[in-house]
Amino acid sequence: MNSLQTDRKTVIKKARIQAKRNLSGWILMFVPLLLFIMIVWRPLLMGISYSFFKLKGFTPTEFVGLQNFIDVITDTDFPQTLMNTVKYVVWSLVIGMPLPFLVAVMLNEMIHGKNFFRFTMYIPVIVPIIATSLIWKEIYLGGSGGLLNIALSYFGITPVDWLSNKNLVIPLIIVSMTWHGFGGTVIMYLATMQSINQELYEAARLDGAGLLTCVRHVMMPHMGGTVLLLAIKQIISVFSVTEQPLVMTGGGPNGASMSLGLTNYFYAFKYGQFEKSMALGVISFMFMLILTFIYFQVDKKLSD
Amino acid sequence: MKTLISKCCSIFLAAVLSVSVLAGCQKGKSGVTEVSIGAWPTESQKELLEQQNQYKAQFEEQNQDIKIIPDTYKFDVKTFMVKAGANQLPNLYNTYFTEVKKNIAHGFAADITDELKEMGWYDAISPEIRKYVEDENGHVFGVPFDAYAQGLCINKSIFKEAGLVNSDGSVMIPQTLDEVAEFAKTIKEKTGKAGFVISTTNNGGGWQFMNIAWDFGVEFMKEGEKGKYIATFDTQECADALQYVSDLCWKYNALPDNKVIDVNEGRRIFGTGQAGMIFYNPSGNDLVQKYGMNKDDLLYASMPSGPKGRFAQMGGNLYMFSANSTKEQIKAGLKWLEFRGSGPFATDEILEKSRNTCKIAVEKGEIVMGRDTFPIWNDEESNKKKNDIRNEYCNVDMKNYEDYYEFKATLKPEEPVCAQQLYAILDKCIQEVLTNKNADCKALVKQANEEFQKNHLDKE
Repeated sequence: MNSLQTDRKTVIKKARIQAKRNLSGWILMFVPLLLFIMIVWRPLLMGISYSFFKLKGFTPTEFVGLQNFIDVITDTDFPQTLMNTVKYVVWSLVIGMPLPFLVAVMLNEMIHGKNFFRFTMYIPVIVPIIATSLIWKEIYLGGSGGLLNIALSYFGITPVDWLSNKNLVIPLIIVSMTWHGFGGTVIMYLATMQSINQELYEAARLDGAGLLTCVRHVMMPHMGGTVLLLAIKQIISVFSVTEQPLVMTGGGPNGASMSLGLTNYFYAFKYGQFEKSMALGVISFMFMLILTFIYFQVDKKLSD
Repeated sequence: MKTLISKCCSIFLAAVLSVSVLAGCQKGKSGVTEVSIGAWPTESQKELLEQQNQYKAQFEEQNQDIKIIPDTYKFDVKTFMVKAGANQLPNLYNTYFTEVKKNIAHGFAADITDELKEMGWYDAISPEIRKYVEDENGHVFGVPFDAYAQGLCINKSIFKEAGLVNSDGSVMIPQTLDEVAEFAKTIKEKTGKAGFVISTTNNGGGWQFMNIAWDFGVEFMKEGEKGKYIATFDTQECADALQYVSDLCWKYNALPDNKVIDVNEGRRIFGTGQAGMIFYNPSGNDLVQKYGMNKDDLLYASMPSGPKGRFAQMGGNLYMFSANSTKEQIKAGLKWLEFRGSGPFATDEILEKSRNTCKIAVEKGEIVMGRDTFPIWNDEESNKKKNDIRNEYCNVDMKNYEDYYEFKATLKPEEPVCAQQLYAILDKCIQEVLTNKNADCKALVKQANEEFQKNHLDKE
């Protein structure tokens, strides 16, 4: 009996000490936690719940079940928009993945000027997305005044209205996105490359391996995880592409560059159809949730 | 001891932050009505800001029960919904005629009918204009301050360069859509510049296309049973109107090389002297201020006529009150508008302010026309007095606006429902015909009509 009482006292004492220790942490966390709940979780949960209602402004007036989701999915533009979004993702993998990898390999092999190039390549990342999109819009501008057309005119190529080409518009937007974001990806690749034990390269070189063989048999086995992780991260990020088509094409020509993100933006800010915007937001959120789950699984596997 | 100090610091910081947050919720002094006024000049607009602050001081002295809270928020379609949804709109905010129905439907604007009647403004608003700021039950939700009809804006220098001049040296003014196309073709051939600019994105294409389509006899929708609307533009007339736009590009080669352009980009092209004609309304001040266009190069003409008529879409700007404004705040806001000269009456004090505004505008090189764009108020005597002041400071040749002010075109309001969605669908049609030489206009119109009915009208 005495021993039980002593145990209970010890447990209570430990809990008190623990609570005292945690108190400062909770006090310090109070404001950020409050902001996090108010700014992230509250709107998220409200958005999900509002997607089942008819709204007047942002005030729910009538529960409509899945009607908003049905309206979004049965919109005649939805299949094309979804397909466009998939195209954005595919092109981002085709253009956006190998390029930073190649640049990282080149930087890794450089002896002089490595820091300079690493720094300059990162600069586009700090340029705001809207500014980047405006720059690239000028580059792709149709007619003889477009920067790309001016460059091509030196080779005798007649001006092209780049962004009016339905087949080219998505890859061209992806090029601008790659330019904007590839500095960060290069740094991540480079960090992984530099963490590879140099002795492995030396051993491979002693065995007569060239650059390509080193890349294939030494570098790639170490890089696989990072490549996969970055690919998933890129898919998640490109899936919500909005600003670039908004600034560069407005979703045109004839809906060829319209994405789910941009449709969502138009629902909310152009037409004031908040119910549809929230329903589409929930649909996109579900896609992203699945991708994020995969991302965390891969990340966990790699960390283990 | 150290832990105790850190705990005290944490509690103190948390308390300070909480108090700071709550401080923002403090209410004004009792007995004084606080009214926030939007579109207040920013620090970068030094002269305007100084003048506005002076007016504020004068107004508050005359009305000691009112306190003006300046708010620099100016209507922007990208930010409006968020501000409105978060109840962050100033009590008095500016917006466009095209937004009125949406704002009323979402409950973002207050009904000000009673206050307008009390102030004697209700009957003073021109009935032609009042219909743009009221709902279907005749309740008024806004105070218009600028109204206009779309017109054809011409760059005189480019016309002269292309040889489009009459024997007396004046520039030739196209009166029909066919003439617009022919003139645009001549401009392209003679100067290498685009003859005409039409927008194609962000609903600008559809908005401008309405004028052309109406000229071809297109009726976009009609009211069916139980107030439901039916899309009615799957017609040969609409296909012909679309074919006209296509011809501007492929037959006449009269458009800019860049085909994906919004309204602002179109104005930039025109304002920087790269195109001869555009659909636009007076005064065109932004063309001069933003793009450095010579104001003497601007000429405004009536919208051209088509095979089935001559129409021009109406537009304009207005003030609305946020839905959460109290009766006192609405009255205070209206008093402020009256004080600033945006009301129907013209006292000596108001006329003096108009004189000052014109003076500053002239000093800044802005366009001051010798008349208002479109009369908003019924009181002809007040209108005349205000126009006399404009005339006094007029810094453009009003002959350049003569054709426009003959109002040869029939003025038409925006389509009754889902107008923005219709513009977006028409944008796509225009983009298709401008990027695909062999586009089938009839099929495009049929598809657009179906889309509009299924995606929008059926869900209204």
